[in-house]
Amino acid sequence: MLKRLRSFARRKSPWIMHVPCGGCNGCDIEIVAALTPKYDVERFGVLQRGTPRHADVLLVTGIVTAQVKDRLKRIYDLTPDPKYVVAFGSCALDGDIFREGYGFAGPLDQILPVSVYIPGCPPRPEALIDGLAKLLREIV
Amino acid sequence: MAVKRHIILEALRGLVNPFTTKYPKEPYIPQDGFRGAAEYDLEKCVGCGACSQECPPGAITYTDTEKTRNLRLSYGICSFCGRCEEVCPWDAVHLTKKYELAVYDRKEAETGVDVSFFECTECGRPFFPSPQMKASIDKVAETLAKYGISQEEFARLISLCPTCSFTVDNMPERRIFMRRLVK
Amino acid sequence: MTPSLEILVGLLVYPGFLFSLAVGGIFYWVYRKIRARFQARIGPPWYQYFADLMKLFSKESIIPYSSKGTLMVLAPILSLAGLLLVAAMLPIGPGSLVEFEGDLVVALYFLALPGLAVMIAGGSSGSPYGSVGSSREANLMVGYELPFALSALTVGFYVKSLSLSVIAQYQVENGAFFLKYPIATVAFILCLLPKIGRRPFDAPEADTEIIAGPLTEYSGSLLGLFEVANGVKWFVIPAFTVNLFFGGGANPLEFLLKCLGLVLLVSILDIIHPRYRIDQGFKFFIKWVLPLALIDFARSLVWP
Repeated sequence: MLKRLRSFARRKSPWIMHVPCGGCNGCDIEIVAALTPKYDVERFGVLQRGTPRHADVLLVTGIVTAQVKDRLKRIYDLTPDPKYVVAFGSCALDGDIFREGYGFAGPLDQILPVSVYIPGCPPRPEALIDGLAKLLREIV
Repeated sequence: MAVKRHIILEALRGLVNPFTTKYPKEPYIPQDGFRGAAEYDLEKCVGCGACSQECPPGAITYTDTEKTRNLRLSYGICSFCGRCEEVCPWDAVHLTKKYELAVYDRKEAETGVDVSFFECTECGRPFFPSPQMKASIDKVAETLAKYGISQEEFARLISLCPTCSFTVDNMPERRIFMRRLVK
Repeated sequence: MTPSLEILVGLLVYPGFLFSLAVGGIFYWVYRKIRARFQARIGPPWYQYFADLMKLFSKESIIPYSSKGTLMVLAPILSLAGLLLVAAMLPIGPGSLVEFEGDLVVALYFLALPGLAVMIAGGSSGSPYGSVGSSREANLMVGYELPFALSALTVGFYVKSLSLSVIAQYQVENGAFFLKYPIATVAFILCLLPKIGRRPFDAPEADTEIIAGPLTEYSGSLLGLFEVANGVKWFVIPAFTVNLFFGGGANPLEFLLKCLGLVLLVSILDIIHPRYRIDQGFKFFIKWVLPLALIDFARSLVWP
């Protein structure tokens, strides 16, 4: 009974932190658009926090460059358990158009364990809501 | 002052009537011309590989096995630009309106088509995608009719793989055929 | 029931911990929903605050290496303890749990504890964002504590008693105090805004909103305790105001409705304002709010 209450609470209040690595910022604009009144994710309990200590879900956009790699691992370590990582946009999946560049340090799931991948360049804000819904189904 | 009144009225209207979309409860269909996920038309694709040559990030790749050519479009690399749809001569790739592509596993985010190969009438080796064979004949049918060449003769000529068609037996026939076209 | 058991139940259930938490959670939801509707969007559902609390208590608490761990844990407990003790002394409707002469002054002291706790939390976090947030809170507290106390004492001097129950009782018989001292009411409501941490004076908590201020290094159960204190604040502070200025209520239902009206007022003041810079906020309190409180304080001393 307590376990059901706990997973209900975790499903109804996912706090996200938006971690932009080295991309073109198109996906970042779509995330910010999802927080506006038109697509309002606050009705699902999603709050955007600035610090990884408060967050449950790390929303990573952009390709992982050699510069950002260690700092990204540190941000992941700072987040308290239980945590989930969502790869948002094709850049985080496999590099999109930047994969032949010299700064590309691998797709995101070679560095962090990813729960949900959302392809798109950039994905619509509705695709973000759909991806979050698929993530929340997985939360125990 | 008129501008301020308009803003205040809009804010008050927003109180009772929120602007939020009803998205998860009602599906949202984007407008025409929206570039969503690309999908192959299985009947039209001939396996020519033009999309793979043109794709800017290199999302479309193909591998050839003994009997088939397997084309794969990976959504993780695709940048949804639409070059493949512009370039395809057979009109077989279309960018649909699908945008709900979230997956749990990276390998699932892809689409593709498998095209079987056509075998040479003489030596039996597969050398060319078979839908492209038929589609090529249909495409040049008009020109052939202008020169008075029948489709069966043309089909017989191009059904030979490159090694077989340059043998001593078949070469003169090709020369005669080419002369007829030039004249 | 023996008196000590009665006090224990009162402290924990009514009007103590559970009651304040439930009512405070509902008032916090009212604030968030009204804020959403003014921004033309749908807000969160009614159970959002309680779901946030349960989720926070089920997460891991990380205490950073470079922080003073004991102080980090004690800060939210201090804040919650101060608020609950005030809740025990508040007359809700007819009577209160504990009453004695002078409990107005004790309540004023205890209501300064949440601000102090935020300062301790920021200072002991071991991160520069925390120290900056803590210094902003100290800055603002110097500004608003004095008008807060002066306006509260104005009412006490009029009734010639420093007991909350006597003040509430006087208003039930003779009419609410905001009609006699409207200027003090205005000053008091303006001091409520930084106490609950709302715009235009929320510079300490949410200003480094990019990084979250004094609560930056808190996670899991410790952050949950701070959120509990925030929720209880939404009940205790409007209740304190209603007792002092708005009549006190003859029964609990009327009391809660008056608190709800005050919550609506604070929400609307929050929604329509942007955030003041810390020096602008401080100057506002010293330049405008303190003179207003002094005017009515002088009036209550000179014309009894």
